[in-house]
Amino acid sequence: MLVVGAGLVAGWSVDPLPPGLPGRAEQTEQEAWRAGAAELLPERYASFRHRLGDTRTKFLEERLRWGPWQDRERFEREFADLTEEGTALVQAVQASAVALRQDTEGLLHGQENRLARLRDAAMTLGMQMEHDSLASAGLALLEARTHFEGGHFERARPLIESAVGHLTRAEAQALAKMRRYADGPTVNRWGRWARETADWSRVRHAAAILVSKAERRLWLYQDGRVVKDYAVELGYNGLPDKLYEGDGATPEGRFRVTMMKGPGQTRFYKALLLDYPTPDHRRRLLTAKVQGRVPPQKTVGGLIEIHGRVRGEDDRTSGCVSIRNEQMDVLFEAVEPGTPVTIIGALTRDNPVAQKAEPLQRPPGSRI
Amino acid sequence: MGMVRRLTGVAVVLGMVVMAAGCAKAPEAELAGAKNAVDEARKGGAEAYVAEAFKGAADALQKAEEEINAQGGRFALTRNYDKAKELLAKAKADAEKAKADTGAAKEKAKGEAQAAQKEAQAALSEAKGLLAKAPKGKGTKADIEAMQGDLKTAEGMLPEIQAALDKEDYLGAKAKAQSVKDRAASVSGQVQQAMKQKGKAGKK
Repeated sequence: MLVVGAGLVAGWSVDPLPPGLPGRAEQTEQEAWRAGAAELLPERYASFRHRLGDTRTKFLEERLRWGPWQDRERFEREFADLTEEGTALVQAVQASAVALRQDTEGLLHGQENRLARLRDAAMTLGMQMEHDSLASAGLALLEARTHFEGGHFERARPLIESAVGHLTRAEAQALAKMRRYADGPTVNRWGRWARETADWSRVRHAAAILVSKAERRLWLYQDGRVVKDYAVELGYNGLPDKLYEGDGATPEGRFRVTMMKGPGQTRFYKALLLDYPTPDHRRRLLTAKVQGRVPPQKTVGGLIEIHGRVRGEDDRTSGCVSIRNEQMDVLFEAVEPGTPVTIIGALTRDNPVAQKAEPLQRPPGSRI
Repeated sequence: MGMVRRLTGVAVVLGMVVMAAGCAKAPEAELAGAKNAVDEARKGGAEAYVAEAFKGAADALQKAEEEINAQGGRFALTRNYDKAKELLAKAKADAEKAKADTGAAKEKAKGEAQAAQKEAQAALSEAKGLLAKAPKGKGTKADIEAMQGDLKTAEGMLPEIQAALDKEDYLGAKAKAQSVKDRAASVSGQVQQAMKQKGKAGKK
């Protein structure tokens, strides 16, 4: 009786299952949560939490049993397993967070670069862009950057996606304008015009002018040789061929000087008026109207000149070619009414516009 | 006879003790109170604003439920809910504190978002004012139109900022306001640069 009594007392008094046994496993759960497990690996985290809770309930039930009947080894093993699982979960979450950060950074950086390239192309080539798309993309990327810096990747990513849509539209529009500068037959035709202009000058022993829009240069020929080489500014919508009045584009074609305007006859110091529009330009506008590409009320325009500059004003034009006033003096001495003026898109296929277009044509993935 | 009376007394006392022990019921009222406090904290946005404190309350509630389940599996006379009650009291107190702290954190975030909204509006006004005075020329027409387009797009974001504020999405509102402010500042910078260049050109 005494032995049984002592055994019972000992049985109730010993506590082989320490209450702090789940502690380490619980700690890993906290670490995983702090690392962002609920957002980054929600299913795995939920499964771990479920298993932890389940084991803890069984552990509590076990602790309520009579001391000698408690299975300490089993729970030590189970919580050790859970601690191991939790530690692996923490590592997986941390790796996932790093990958997400890098991935988001890559996406964001890629689209920021894409926007910068488009803006650079628009600015350096004087290319009029669909500003709504660029402005929307710019704002979305600024907002995404703020969220990214704050570690809110889940907020940054949809904004980056939205910017991708805007940039894709703007890029397609830009490429539509730039593509012909890389088009072999088009560039070959421009090259032929350039050669014929130089030949005309050589055969007639007279002055001729060649302007290339991509290179933004004006060359003055005498006896078939270049005697002057000047930088020019063009229409603010510099890349396309002029189609109608107010489009801001500089026309391409073979023109003649029809009038020489001296000081007092023009506000741009001196000017050489060209015979734009040619019958070819009128035909192109008519076709565009028939095809519905241009509103019917648009007119072909005129008053295309090579002119000087006004101090304090932007050097770009509404479609004319502008050069410095002292260069205008030289041209004025060299040319006369009837002098040929050829305006081409580019001299060679390896021109600045084609070079800017090349990275825009690469698949989006290779740009990020 | 005295012996019988004494034994009867002991039996009655023992019976009362057993009855008292048998009456240990699950702390349902405390459980409901703690659950309600955690739910209220969650609805108030504690998960987003005071995540750590909220998790502490939710974890205490879960542990209390586990304790109740474990005690529920015992022989009725031996159930003891003291530990569960202790955990429920902690869960309730933590949840109530989390809810109160959420209010303060929200007010702070709201204040920051509203300040960012005002800064964005001021930056937009400044940029629009500067753009109106931008140097005009044949070629700058397109640039001015482009910058006006930028500002118009940025201005179109103002209702979105207000909508985010109304939805208590202060983080979103602040980020939107920051993007508007940055864009407007960029336009102001471009115009100031153009004005500076014009000034230089005029002095030649």
